[in-house]
Amino acid sequence: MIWIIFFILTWIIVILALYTWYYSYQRERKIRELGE
Amino acid sequence: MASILPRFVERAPSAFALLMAVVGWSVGAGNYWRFSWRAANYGGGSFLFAYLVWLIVTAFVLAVAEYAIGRFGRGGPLHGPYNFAQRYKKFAAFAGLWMAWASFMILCYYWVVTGWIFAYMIYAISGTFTRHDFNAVATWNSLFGSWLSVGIGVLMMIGSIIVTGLGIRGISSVARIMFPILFILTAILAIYSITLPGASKGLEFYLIPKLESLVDPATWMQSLSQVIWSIGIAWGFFIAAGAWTRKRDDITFLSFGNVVNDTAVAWMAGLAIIPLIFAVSATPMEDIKAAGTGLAFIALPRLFHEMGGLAGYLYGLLFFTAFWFAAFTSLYTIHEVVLRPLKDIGMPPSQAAILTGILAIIIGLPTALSFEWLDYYDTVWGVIGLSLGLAAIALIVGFFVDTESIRRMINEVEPKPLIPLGSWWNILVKVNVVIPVIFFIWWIAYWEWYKGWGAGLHTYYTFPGIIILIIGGIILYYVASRTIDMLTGAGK
Repeated sequence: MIWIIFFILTWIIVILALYTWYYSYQRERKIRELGE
Repeated sequence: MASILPRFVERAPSAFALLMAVVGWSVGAGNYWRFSWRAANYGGGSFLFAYLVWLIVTAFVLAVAEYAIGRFGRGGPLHGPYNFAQRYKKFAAFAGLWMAWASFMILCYYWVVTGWIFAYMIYAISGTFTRHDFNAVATWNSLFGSWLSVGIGVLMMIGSIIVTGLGIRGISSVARIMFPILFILTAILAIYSITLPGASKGLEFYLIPKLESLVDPATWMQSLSQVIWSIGIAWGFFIAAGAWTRKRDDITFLSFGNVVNDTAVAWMAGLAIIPLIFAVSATPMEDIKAAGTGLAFIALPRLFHEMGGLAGYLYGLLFFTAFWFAAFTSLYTIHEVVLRPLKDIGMPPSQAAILTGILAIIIGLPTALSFEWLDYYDTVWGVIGLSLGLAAIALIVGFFVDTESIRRMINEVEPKPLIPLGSWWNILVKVNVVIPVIFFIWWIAYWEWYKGWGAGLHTYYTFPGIIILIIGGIILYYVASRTIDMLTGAGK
């Protein structure tokens, strides 16, 4: 039971954090395409 | 425009650089030292449950609101709210100064904590943790409250005065690399800790909420304060950061990035610290109580000791270097936030840095010498002061302006925002005006009145603390009002 909670929470929190790193690169690319 | 942020991001004005700059602000001593201390002492799983609730109900919503004040008000903690508010402008300026005041009072003990981390970095270099006769509790006890720790802490504050006063740049380009390193190091520590024999009991304590602590208002109040302390909402920083953002920067993304990165580090730090205590101790709850504010400083070196040998030595060294860096960047950023209103009224940065730095050392000295004083400062300003700042942000964005038009302006950014704000945002902002107040009253009423004098942890000093906040608030309102009159020429 605790391991299920652990994996779900870790998955959500850590993956979301790493996603923001990835997203920032994607967003910067779009910003450059659009121009300042 | 003069701002506190250009030195963080001017060299790499990209979305990633900006994210790392603001996350570098959020992640610091709070994620390890304060999170483990508060989580372990206020219910473990229940604390974590309340923490996750606050992230959704309060943290993201009000981080966006605080960024919006800076972005649309175009100014620091004094000018930002004043320009932003359409009504009660002076009160808005006062609220901004309140945040700067709370930040200053936290600065008064943040230098102490940064000093401890620096001392532990030195211990790591000297190989203390991997010695056979290493005793984590004795090492902590010999440092805590000693004049050595005061000396090291003062050095940290002098470092902060130099960085902020001289406007030294380039440190955050190092921080950009340091944060991902710290993130990965903490993840490995967490995995190491939860795989120790006997750690699953600690995991259970950390993850499973218990009813008796879920109905205790202290759990909710302490977790709320931890959320805003750790992420750095209501300190005035996001106002200053919002003023700096580019036209295409998305403040919903920045807020989300702050919330999840900070939470990820705190989450992993909790996983590294709490299960370890249960793995190595026969009486973990007694040990947690005895460790008090030093929990992280007792548990983390134990991990390196368990690893042992060269691996333990190098890991300890790398970890405490990255951790100290995170804390030091947060220390001088808090200092920058505190300086901002002084700079805005025309004081030279070097003078303002020295003045606030020396005052922070003098006012914070008791917290370096006694746990009671540290707990007192942290309760009055870290818990109550910040919570009231939080309510003030909600009040300004929810009631002093047309919230709907602010929501639309936030959504207008191109490329499209990461999280388009719906009308739910308007409602949650307004609700957050009363949430900290309700929980605060429940907390005080339960522990101070219902449980009675002497039962509460903070009984003997909560009320004097509140009186200090009220008197300080009145003085601050007068200062804010006079300053605004002076700057706008209304008083002449």
